[in-house]
Amino acid sequence: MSSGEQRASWTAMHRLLFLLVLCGALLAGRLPDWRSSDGNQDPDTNVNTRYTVESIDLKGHAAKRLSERLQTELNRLVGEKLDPSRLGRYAEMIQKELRAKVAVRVEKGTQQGNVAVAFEIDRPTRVGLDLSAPKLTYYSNEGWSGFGQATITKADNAFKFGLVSDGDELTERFTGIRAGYENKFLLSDRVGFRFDYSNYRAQWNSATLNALAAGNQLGGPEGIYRTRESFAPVVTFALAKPLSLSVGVDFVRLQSQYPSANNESANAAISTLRYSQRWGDSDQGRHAKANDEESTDLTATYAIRTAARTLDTDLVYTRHSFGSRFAWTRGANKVIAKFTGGIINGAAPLFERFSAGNMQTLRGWNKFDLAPKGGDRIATGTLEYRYDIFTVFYDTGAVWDRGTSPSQKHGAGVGLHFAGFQVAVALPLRDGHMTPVFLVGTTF
Amino acid sequence: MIKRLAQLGFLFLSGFLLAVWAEELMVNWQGEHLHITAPQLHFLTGKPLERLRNGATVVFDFSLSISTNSNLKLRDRALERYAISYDLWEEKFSVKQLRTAKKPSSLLSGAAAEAWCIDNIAVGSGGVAPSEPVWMRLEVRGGDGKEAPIFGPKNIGESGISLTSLVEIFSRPASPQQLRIVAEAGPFKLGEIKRKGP
Repeated sequence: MSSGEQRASWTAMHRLLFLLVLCGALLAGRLPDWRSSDGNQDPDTNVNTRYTVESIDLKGHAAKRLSERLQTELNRLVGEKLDPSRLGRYAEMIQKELRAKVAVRVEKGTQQGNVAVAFEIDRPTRVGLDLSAPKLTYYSNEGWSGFGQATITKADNAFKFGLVSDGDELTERFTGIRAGYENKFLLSDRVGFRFDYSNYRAQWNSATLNALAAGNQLGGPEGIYRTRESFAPVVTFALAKPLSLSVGVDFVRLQSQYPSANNESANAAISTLRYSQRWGDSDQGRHAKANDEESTDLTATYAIRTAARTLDTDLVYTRHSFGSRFAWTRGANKVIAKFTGGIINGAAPLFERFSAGNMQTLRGWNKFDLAPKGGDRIATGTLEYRYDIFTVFYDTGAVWDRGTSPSQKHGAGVGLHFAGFQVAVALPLRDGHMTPVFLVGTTF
Repeated sequence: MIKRLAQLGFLFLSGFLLAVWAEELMVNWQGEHLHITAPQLHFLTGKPLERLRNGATVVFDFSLSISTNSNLKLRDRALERYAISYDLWEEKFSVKQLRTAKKPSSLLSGAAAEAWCIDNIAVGSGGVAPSEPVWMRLEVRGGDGKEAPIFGPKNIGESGISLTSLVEIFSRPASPQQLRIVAEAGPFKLGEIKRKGP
């Protein structure tokens, strides 16, 4: 197949993937709501469950900021029999969304046999501080990676500040700061705004440097850089309940290392379409385990980054990436299937290139053995089975460059997984020697 | 010195109050079981009552025990859980005994609902001789609205909540938000207790 034919087939493929996401989203609107009502409707334990909800009233200043989606769900309670446990769950949801205290009041209605429900919403919590570690991992091929973050929230505004040292995600180890601002209620609950700022110092593995030197690519815009600075304002639109679209621009400045310190820019328009849906038990996890309930989660993301001359960029390229995750849970059993794919066309900087053989993909493999300078094509898949805290997984995939043949790799492993934290031993499946790789950590 | 006196005063007052409570717990035989009455004991008050008048179900756990050796040796214990609700239109209480399949008792006044709960818990003699001094203790917990995990299917069987779960509840300290009332009677001799009914 010629490179022109390959390009045409890949273009057709990513169009197909995009259509699949879109069709899935449209189809989801027609799927039945399998969410079961687990509310306590037993008339023996609450005599009021025989009464009909006459009205739902939202009281307090913050009430007007409640999302349309939640307001619609609350209004659906009118005409139904009273379910106190369901009201409790809605109070929790309101509390979570508005960050305010919520009290539920139930009184006699205007007609015999009816009751009136009021949610009394207090003023939002003044300022909240949350410390978290979204990533803390050890992968014996790469060493430690970590990301610690402090989030200060006030009403709908969140200010974030974090410290990062990550040798897992990319071919470079990037160390530095990450900061940002987010507002999930920009005029409406369907529009959110955020901007992210990051400033990293890059460290390079000798395998990457050797591979770049061999191809005479060490210097120049596509070569290695000392620092990487990014500023990205993004607006997110909630298109429909499970579907959201984010649009923005990522202004990236790279300080190249060879032949001399020089600034290059890789400014790109970014767009992400995300579909996320859950069917079955809404409070999955602890209760699903206990109740032997069934739930299904599906998340699919398509992202495109386009660096064009109109954005005053030195590097011109387009990067498409697709990711999907399907999880089926029944009691203590969980089956997870994941797929990622991506294509880069044009001259992309090293941080945009795809890498596999890390905590997420092709576990057990060393990413510097697979593609020391990353690849402009990637396709990986994972099949994982968990029983309670025990997990067994199989990874497959390839990273390669346009014009070369992909070499599919396989890996498998066993481990323990609890509350997002995993400890595992992974083996790259190949002829000859087998070196087990130890991995531990949490990634959210 | 003042602090010591205050502590002693507090201890004396606590002992006095406990003695007063003890007088409030009256014991009688019904068949082979010991029943109690406690007309001065009220648990449908304060926050639990507020929650009930707001249409919620409030759960109370009861433990009734009989001991010997100066209240140190437990001879027998009965555990019950009741779900109480307040009918917003009838303005009456309804009580359901969760460890049995019995129908709930409805249209009760507050005092009648409290009495119903106490009437429906009974303990055996635990093999205590009629002439041996015994102590009885009633403990009521709950009303904080945080019983949800106990209602998990593992805890509720065909006949309601499991005995193991109730034992577990009474073996841990009550949370600060939880209502906890203790009433005691004793020492007295089983041979001196009057029989009620046939």
